[in-house]
Amino acid sequence: MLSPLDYILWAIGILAPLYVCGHAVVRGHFHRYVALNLFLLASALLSAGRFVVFARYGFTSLEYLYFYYYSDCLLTILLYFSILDLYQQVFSAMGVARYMRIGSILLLAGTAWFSFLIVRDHLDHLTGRFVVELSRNLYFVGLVLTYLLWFGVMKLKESRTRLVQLVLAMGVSFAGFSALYAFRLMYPGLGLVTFLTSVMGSFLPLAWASTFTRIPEEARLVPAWVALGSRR
Amino acid sequence: MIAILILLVSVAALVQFFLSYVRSLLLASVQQTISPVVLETCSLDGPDVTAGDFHRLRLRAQLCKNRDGDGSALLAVGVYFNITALLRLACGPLVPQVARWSELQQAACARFALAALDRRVITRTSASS
Repeated sequence: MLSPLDYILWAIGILAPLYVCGHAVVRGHFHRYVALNLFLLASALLSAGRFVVFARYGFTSLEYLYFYYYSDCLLTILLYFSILDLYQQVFSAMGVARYMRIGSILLLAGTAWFSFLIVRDHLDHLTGRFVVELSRNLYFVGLVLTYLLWFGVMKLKESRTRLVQLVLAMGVSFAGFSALYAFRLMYPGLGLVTFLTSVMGSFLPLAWASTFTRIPEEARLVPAWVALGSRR
Repeated sequence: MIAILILLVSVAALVQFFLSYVRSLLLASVQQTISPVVLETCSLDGPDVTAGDFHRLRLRAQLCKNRDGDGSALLAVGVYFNITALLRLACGPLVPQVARWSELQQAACARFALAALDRRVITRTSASS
């Protein structure tokens, strides 16, 4: 049984990404952050899809479970490519876009292979297990990549406020999901984790909606002041 | 064992990213100019506010609802305010630098709430006119 809060979070998960995409189209910066917008569009569509499956089969049904994990895996891959979008923005002056694309595909393939090695002995539901394992590993890889990106932002003194906030919000999201997956591994079936996953799922579109609405493209800040060690 | 390790690393990164994210929100709000109407309504002489003003300003901003999507940012800043308040309570008496730093952070949170209120008032005023 879902609470009204769960339904609100679900609605946010559909409406907030659509708002960001709509805002990007109206303001004409859809192509500038194309991977981010595609992720958000997919996120809205899959959230709506999850709701349809939930309404038809129920929250605890096998159909919902499969749809949830398969869509989560797809979203994680799209979010992974969104980090690369931000990498290209931060390192655009260095002209290393081609190497980053190749590196990212190799890393994705390596993560998929590592995930397969973990689940290959489980012959029952091999694909299902692989999908869950891939999502879990990609969240951690994404977290490491976002951490490296944040390090790059600090080192290169990247001052675009919008970009800084997009990177940090992504870091919160990857770290949160990675922690929740690890927690779920330790305590499977804990209801609080399911609720926190919904909260975390609505954080990223809301944070990005806030950034794109309030922060103009030309806004600047000093990234060192954002770091925790700063006295400001 | 690996799950515990991943959990610890993820939680540490989560805390760091979250606090940095909120600090970026606070820094962005400092650049915003506050309209005289809002300053007058809040009985303020200027945009410089103190930690004590935070709850009052946040409440006013929450009462002045809008659809600009900064509700989540205000919520995040509220969490940051409470974290720094706890830090101040726990370490402030022993380490004066921490107390001073926490007070600065809380004042920045109050400034963010004032900026949010200002944005909302402007949005509503322009929508109604």
